[in-house]
Amino acid sequence: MSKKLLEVNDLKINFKTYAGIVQAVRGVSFELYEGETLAIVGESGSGKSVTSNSIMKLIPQPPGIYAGGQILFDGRDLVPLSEKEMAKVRGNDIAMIFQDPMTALNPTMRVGRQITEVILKHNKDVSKAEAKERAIKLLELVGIPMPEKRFRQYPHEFSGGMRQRVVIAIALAADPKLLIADEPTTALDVTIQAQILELMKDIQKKSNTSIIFITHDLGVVANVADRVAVMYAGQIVEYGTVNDIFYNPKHPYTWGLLGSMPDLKNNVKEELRTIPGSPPDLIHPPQGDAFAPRNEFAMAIDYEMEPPMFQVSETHYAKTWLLHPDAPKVPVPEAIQQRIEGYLKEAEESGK
Amino acid sequence: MANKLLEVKNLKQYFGSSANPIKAVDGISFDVYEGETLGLVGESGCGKSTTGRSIIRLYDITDGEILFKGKNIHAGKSRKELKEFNREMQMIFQDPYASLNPRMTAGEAISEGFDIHGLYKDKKERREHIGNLLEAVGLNREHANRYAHEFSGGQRQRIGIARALSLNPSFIIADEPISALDVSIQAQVVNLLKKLQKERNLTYLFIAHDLSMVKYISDRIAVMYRGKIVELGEANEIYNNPIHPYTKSLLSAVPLPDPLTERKRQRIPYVHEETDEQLSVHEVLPSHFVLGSDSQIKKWTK
Repeated sequence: MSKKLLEVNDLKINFKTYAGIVQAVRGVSFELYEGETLAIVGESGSGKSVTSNSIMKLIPQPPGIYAGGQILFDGRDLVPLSEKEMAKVRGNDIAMIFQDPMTALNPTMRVGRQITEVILKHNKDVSKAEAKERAIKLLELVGIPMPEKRFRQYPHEFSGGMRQRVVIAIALAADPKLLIADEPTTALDVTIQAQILELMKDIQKKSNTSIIFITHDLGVVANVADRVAVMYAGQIVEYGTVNDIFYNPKHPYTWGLLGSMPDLKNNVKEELRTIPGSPPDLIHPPQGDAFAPRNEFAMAIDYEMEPPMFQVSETHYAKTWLLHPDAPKVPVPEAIQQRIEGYLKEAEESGK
Repeated sequence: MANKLLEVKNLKQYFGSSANPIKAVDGISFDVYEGETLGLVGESGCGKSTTGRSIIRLYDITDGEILFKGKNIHAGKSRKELKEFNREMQMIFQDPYASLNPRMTAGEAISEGFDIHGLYKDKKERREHIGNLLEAVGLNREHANRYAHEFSGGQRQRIGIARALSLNPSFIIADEPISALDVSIQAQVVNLLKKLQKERNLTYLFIAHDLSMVKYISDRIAVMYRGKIVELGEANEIYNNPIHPYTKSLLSAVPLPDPLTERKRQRIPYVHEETDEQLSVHEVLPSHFVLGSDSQIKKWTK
């Protein structure tokens, strides 16, 4: 078993607003091993970006408040660190890739300098010439042709996909152990998206980096993730390996997410399953299970008591009362079950 | 076979100087039949949105002909004819945050068309109609008095749809109507569009870059690349039997919610092939069209 790199324990993040205190993250726990990719999925407002930003300590305080919990990186808790200490962690240990490559780069600086800036800042012994050499190597690594020429160009001379490659090169500049990618491909075309995903997996293989991948696209999750955490209303509601989540989903919210994607392979033309309603107000989080009002399988207890994390298997957990031994047996909705069986059958056939 | 509602013939839309124009749309032809959904896909910058905007007369076209119900839409028109045309064809926009006026209530946004066309002058009748439209898109009558910022993204898009429906159009151009929304909300909006199509016998031109949703909602799909339609055919046919290498490449990049296949995914890169030969549209299979030179088509269909 590889080494545990990151451990988040019962993390709580609040935001003070005029309307009241928003509980954006309400007790999130997960762990990440070296060389592993964890995908965090959920709707907007589910707290996935707040969770990832909080690991980098990018939550502005105020209005943000670290209301509880630990973020153990290599055994050290990041929550009490000062801004100065944190600056050493950022870039060196943990780096971030942002969603929009258009705004993540400085339009008035040559691309090369934006990379060497990071290298020089984090390593005082490196000379400028060495930094340049490294930057060009990085550009080459992320698949930018003619890196020497590109080094001297400005961001506007790059296309969207090429810019995202530059952003990745900057993130990699100080050899981080953990990469946090917040919707890195959402702004890109499918073909470019596929290239960027390949690139990230490639880099991971070479340098054994761990990746936290935030996205709302389940197709992308299936492509990159080893493990998946499904977030809803500031909590992780289902957690497991990618196969657990896609082939044996237990939480009705996960069913809803899977069902809202059209099934291309099995060519079913039935109506898409939707999750009725909208996410709850996190200033006054509902009593009991936050998903209950949108859950067609909700029981009386869902409105009274918050469900604990039930263990499904060694790797698979879900936070729903449906897994309680006394709960009625609710099968996976038929359309989703059919789809899963279709996928598994195909995989079996092609495996032969 | 259903009637042709819209015929686009050799449409060209150039921008910039005439000496060195940017050919956003470079000679495309297609038909849209009554009651169907035609999906238009391609990467950003391929000209798919420009095509939609040219059809609804937001641009003066450079060349070609667009016939709607047999009439040329860009031919000289009186104000009255123009208004009639505008009632027939409406658009749903991509960004539900940008497409609603923040100073108007939902009711005002929806009923703006009534003022322009002098409909429902009676207050009570008007309120009734706004209420009906809101209910048709799954909102409440009471929502008419709320402002745009009081709605979520999915609800705003529903208002955008109600506004497009307000004049009872027969043809709707939906330009990336779901790309700005969350997955679960996307499904709600797509289901709504399908339901409305059935109830009101609408015809859609559905422009998107998300191939999986396009395949789900469309009867036929047209794939655009660099201002040209490179392949056009039935949705299933395009998906299961793509001929043009660009379509193949595009399809090979769509991620599916199925980890076992995803781990084995082989992306097919697309290398654009310049030829000196004349490009033309070939009907390789019944109602499956591919753009290419004779020798290219021979190579691709092998």
